[in-house]
Amino acid sequence: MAKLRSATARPAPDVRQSSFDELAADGAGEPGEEAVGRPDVLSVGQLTRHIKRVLEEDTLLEGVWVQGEVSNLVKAASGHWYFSLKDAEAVIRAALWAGNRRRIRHEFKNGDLIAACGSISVYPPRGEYQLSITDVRPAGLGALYEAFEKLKAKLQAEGLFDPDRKRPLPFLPRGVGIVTSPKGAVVQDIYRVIRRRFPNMPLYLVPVKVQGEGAAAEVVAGIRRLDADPRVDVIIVARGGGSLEDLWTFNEESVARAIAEAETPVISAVGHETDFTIADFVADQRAATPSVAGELAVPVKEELIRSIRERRDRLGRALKNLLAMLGERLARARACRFLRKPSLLVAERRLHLSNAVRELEAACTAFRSRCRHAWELLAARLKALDPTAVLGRGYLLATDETGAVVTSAARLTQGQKLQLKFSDGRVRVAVEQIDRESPGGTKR
Amino acid sequence: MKKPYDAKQLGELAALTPEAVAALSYEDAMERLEQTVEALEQEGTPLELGLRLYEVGTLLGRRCGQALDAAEARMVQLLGNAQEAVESPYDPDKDGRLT
Repeated sequence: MAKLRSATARPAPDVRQSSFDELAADGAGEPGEEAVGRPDVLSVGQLTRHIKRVLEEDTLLEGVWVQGEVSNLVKAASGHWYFSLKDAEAVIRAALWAGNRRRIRHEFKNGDLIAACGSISVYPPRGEYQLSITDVRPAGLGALYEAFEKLKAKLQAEGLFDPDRKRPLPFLPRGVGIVTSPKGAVVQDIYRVIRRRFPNMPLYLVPVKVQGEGAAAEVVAGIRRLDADPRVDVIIVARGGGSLEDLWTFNEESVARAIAEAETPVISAVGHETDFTIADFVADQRAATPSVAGELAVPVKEELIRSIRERRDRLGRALKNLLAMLGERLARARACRFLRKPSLLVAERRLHLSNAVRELEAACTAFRSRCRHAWELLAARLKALDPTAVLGRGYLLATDETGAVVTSAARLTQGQKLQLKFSDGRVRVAVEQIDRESPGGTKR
Repeated sequence: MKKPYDAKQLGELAALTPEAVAALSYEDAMERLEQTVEALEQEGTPLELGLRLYEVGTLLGRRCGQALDAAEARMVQLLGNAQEAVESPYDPDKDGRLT
């Protein structure tokens, strides 16, 4: 923060130089004013003009560097940003015009500790003074934000934010517990949404302080009490929007632990959609707004009734369809021609049988003729092979005493008895002479 | 396209007594009602089983409706402490102030 100017290095603003006489002169011509001497009563416009001049002419207040925490940051559609800078003692309004903002590289958001350079300007219609910012530098994190990050890191390391720790919300709770301020829009929003969705849902409110001294203890007690109540199946912990400090109760470790320890599922709805608190991280479900919390907590009764009705109708239709289907099957069965004329049952089979018999007979005939043909072929071939058939053509068959066929002259001896077989009888002869011919020669 | 139903599940559905149905939560009754409807819509459901499923389905539907109406519309404020609990009616439009 070397750029911060020391107040002591500057001359004190010389307010005395602006006289009330000049003020009056400035306002000359306005109704009810005297141009002579010092007026006893100034108009608001005159006084404000003077304040504006004093503040805007003070060189200390020109291009001054100031360090503080950003809060209530509003980003207007025009591109201008409006916010507050604050520390433990005081707060000052600040404006960052679109033209300057585009030149500034440092991005900041609510909760950031920044050093800003600007001049004090006065806006008479509202009687407000503000710091018109020309430059912004980072100045580390705000103390609260630092504490927030520290606790967040600690609980995260303990596994308190783990998705598998999250309990599912009941589909249809018996009752909904609410921990919030009994006054104001939050409890009304939750009440209206739940009544609209599920008119007869019992609601149990533990009224608590949601900010300031003792708020955390009350919230913790409220959560524990509803958690112990058997009528309560889901708990909503809610608070409206506010600054980081306003929401601080929900960044307290005790509140985070109470939410984590609750057996009953907890929905957190703290601050605006853009605000995140430790409670949101620990809760089983985070709701962007109190209304959303109400929507998460209970189903729409009308829809449930519609789905019951639809199922009941389907049940009736299904039974009707089943009966119709069975009736149709019965009718089909009854329509069968055999049931109407049972004699058909026999007649058809008889026809079938006679057909079969006819086919069988035809098959047998065909088989027999095929057999006969095959036999005739075989018989002809057998006849061709009969050795006695050649005897008729002048050949003889010679056998010896043992009846063996004589095929060679070499084996015969003189005087050996042979039997010669003709086609029409046999004769007994004896070998008279043997003339041997060389083997391979033609035998006659 | 319906998932086939195993005989065990069908048997359990068909065996539900009125007492068993009355003891079911809304979600459980609804789940069984859905199963019953789909089982009855399946082709080839035997007549006797179909009639029984219809009967059970009707009981389940009635139970679902009862579960929705069982709650009593009210909003109470839990005051005092956990040991000495005090409950008082609460009207959010009046910020809880008693009239």
